[in-house]
Amino acid sequence: MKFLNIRNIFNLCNKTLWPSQCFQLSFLKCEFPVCRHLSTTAPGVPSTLLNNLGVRSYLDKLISEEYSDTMSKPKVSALINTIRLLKVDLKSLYEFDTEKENDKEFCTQLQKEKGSLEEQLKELELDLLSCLVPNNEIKCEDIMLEITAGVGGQEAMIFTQELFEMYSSFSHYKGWQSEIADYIHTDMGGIRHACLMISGNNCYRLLQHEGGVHRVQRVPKTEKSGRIHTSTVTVAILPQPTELEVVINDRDLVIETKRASGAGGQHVNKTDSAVRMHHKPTGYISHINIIIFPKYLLLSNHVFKMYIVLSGVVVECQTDRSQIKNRKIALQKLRVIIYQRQLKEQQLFTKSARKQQVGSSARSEKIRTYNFNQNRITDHRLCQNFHNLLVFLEGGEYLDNIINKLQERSNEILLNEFIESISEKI
Amino acid sequence: MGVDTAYLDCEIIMQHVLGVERSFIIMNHTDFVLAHKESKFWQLIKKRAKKHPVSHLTGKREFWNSNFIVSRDVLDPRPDSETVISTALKYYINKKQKLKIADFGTGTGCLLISILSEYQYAIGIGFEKSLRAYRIARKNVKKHNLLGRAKIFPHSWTECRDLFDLVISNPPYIKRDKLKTLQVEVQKEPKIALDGGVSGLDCYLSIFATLKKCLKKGGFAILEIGEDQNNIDRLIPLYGLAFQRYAYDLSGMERCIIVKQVHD
Repeated sequence: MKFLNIRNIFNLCNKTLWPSQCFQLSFLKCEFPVCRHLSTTAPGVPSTLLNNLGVRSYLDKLISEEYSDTMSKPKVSALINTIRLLKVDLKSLYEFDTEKENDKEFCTQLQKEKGSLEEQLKELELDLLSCLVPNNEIKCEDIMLEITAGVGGQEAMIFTQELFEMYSSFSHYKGWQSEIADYIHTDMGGIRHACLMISGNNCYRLLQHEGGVHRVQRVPKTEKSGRIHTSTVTVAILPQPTELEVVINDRDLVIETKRASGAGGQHVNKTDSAVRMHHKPTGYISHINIIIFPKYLLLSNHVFKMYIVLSGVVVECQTDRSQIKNRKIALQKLRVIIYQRQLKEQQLFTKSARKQQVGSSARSEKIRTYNFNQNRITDHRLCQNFHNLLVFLEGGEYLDNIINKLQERSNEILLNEFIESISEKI
Repeated sequence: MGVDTAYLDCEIIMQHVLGVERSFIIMNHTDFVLAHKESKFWQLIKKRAKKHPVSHLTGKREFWNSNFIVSRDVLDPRPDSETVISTALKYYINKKQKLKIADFGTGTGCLLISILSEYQYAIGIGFEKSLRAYRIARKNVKKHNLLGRAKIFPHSWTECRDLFDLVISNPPYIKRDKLKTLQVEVQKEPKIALDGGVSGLDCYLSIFATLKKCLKKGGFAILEIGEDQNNIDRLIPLYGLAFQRYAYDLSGMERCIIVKQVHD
C-alpha cells in the first residue's frame, strides 16, 4: 500500500463503489499524480474503504502494475551502462593488441579475455533487445492447446497422437500444469482431435509460435508397398481469457446432454455425462460488465460487438466427470473461442501487420516438417534443419531450443517494426 | 445389446485397477501391466459385460464436485440430480447463511453432502430407512469430513419432527409396471430406491404430508421428479403448500418441482 496517496484512494473508491457513467468519465479525465508515496496508514483514510473487496483488488492491481513499471525501466538504463563499460574495456584490449607485445602468455591471456568479453556483450545485447521490444502482447498464464489431424487419414491421426504426447511431455519438462480437456480417439490408434489445457509461467509466450500446420513425411505403418506419405496436423494455441474479459449470456446458450433418449433421471444409468453447448446469440444483453480498469474499456466494447456478430459456435466436452464439471469446461472452451475471434477483430482494428504474421495461430501456414526417413526436422520460419527426430518428439531440450530460437526471431521482427513505426512518426 | 460407451467404460475400469489418472494412461499407453492387475481388469470387464453399472465395479461415482462411495445397496447418483443443487443455489443466494437442511431418502448422501459443501455454515439431516444404504451414507459423510454438520437417521422421513429451512429429496418415482422395462443396469440397483408405487406418486404424497409440518414458513422444498409427473402441481394445494415452479435439467426436461410453505 505504499504507492497510493489519499486523493487517489478516494477516486478509486468512487470508481469501484459506485460504478456509474459519470464517475467513470471523471475518472478517465483525471490524470494520476506520479508520486504515490503516502502510506495508507496515514490518518484520514477510513479503513472500512480498504476492506471493501472491489477497492482491495483494484489496489492490488495498481501495485503490481507499479512494480512492473519500476522493475523494467531502470533495467534498460542499467543494461546500456554495462554495455558501455564493456565496450570501453574491449577498446582498451584492442589497443593492447596493436602494440604487438612479445610476451606469448600475455597474448593468449588477452585473447581469452577478449573472447569472454565479446560473449558477454552478445548476451547483454540480446537482453537489451528483449527489454526494448514493445511488450504489448497478451499477458496470459493459461492457454488451450488444440491438436487436430489434417490431411492424410489414419496416418495423420497416428502422428497427431505423437505430437500430442510431445507437447504434454514438454509441459511436464517445463513444469507447467496440464489437463486433458478433450480426447477423441479412433479405433485403430491415433487421435482425431485433442485438447490440452496448460497453465504455467510464460506458457503463452513460449508456445505461441507452435500454432500452425505441422507436416510429416514418412512411410506409415499402414502402408504396405513402402511409399512415403505426406500428411498434416494442425496445432492451435488459444489464450484462455479470465471471466472478466468475455461475458457470455446464459440465455444465448443451447445445451444438450448426450443421452440416448427418453426420460433421464432414475430411468437410466449411464457412464457418459458429455455436454454439448451451442452459442446462439439473441442480441439481447442482460448485463454488460462494468469494467473497473480503464485498460479494459476497449475490450468491453468488443464484447458488445461480439454478441451481435458471432453466431453458431458449438463446443463439446466428453469425459467421465460429473455433468456440472463438463458444463464448466465446455463453457471455458466457448469462452476461448470467442476470445480468439475477439482478438482477431482487435488486431484488425489496430491494423498491425506484424501480429497477423507472427502472433496469429493462422492454420493455413505450414510451419514445420518432420521427415522420418532423413531423420530431420525443418522449421520453415527459421529456415533451419535439425536432426535427431525421435529425441525431439520426446519434447525435452530439443523442442525448447527451437522455441527459444523462434522467440528471438519474433523479438527481432517486433523490434524492427517498432523502429519503423517510430521513424514513420518522426 | 452391447455396452454403449465401451471404450469409456474400459478406460474407467483400467484407471480403477491401476489407480492412476486418465492422462497417465494416455501418456504411457505402451507400458506393461502386472499380471494380477490384468486378470483383475478382465474380471471386471466380464462383470461389465453382464451389465453391472461401472460405478458398482469401481465403487465410486462422481457427483457435483466430488466422488462418492456407492454400492449395490444404494441408488447411483445421476447427473440429472445436479439440477436439485443448482436450483437450491438459485433460491438461497447468500452462501454464508445458516440453513437447516433435510434430505428425504438420502441414499448415498450425495445431495446432502454436495449442498452442505456449498453452504459452509449450514447443517443437514438425512433420512434413510434402508439400513444398508444408511451405512454407505455414513461412510460418505465421514469421507467428506462433514460429521460435525451432517447427520443421517436410519428412519423413514415420516418420523421427522423438526423444522427445516430447506428440504431436498430425490424420492423413488418410477411406476411399478415400468420397472421391468428399464435398462438392465438400472435393474441391478435396489428396488426400494426406484419403485414409486403404481402411479409413481406414492412417495410424493407422503413427502407433502411431512412437509406440511416440518417446513418453516417461507421455506422451500426442492424435489426431483420423473417423466409424466408434471401434473403433480395440482396435488400440492391439497396439502396446504404452494407450488412455485418447475426447474429444468441441462437437456431441457422438467426435473424438479419447487414447493413453498405459506402457513405457519
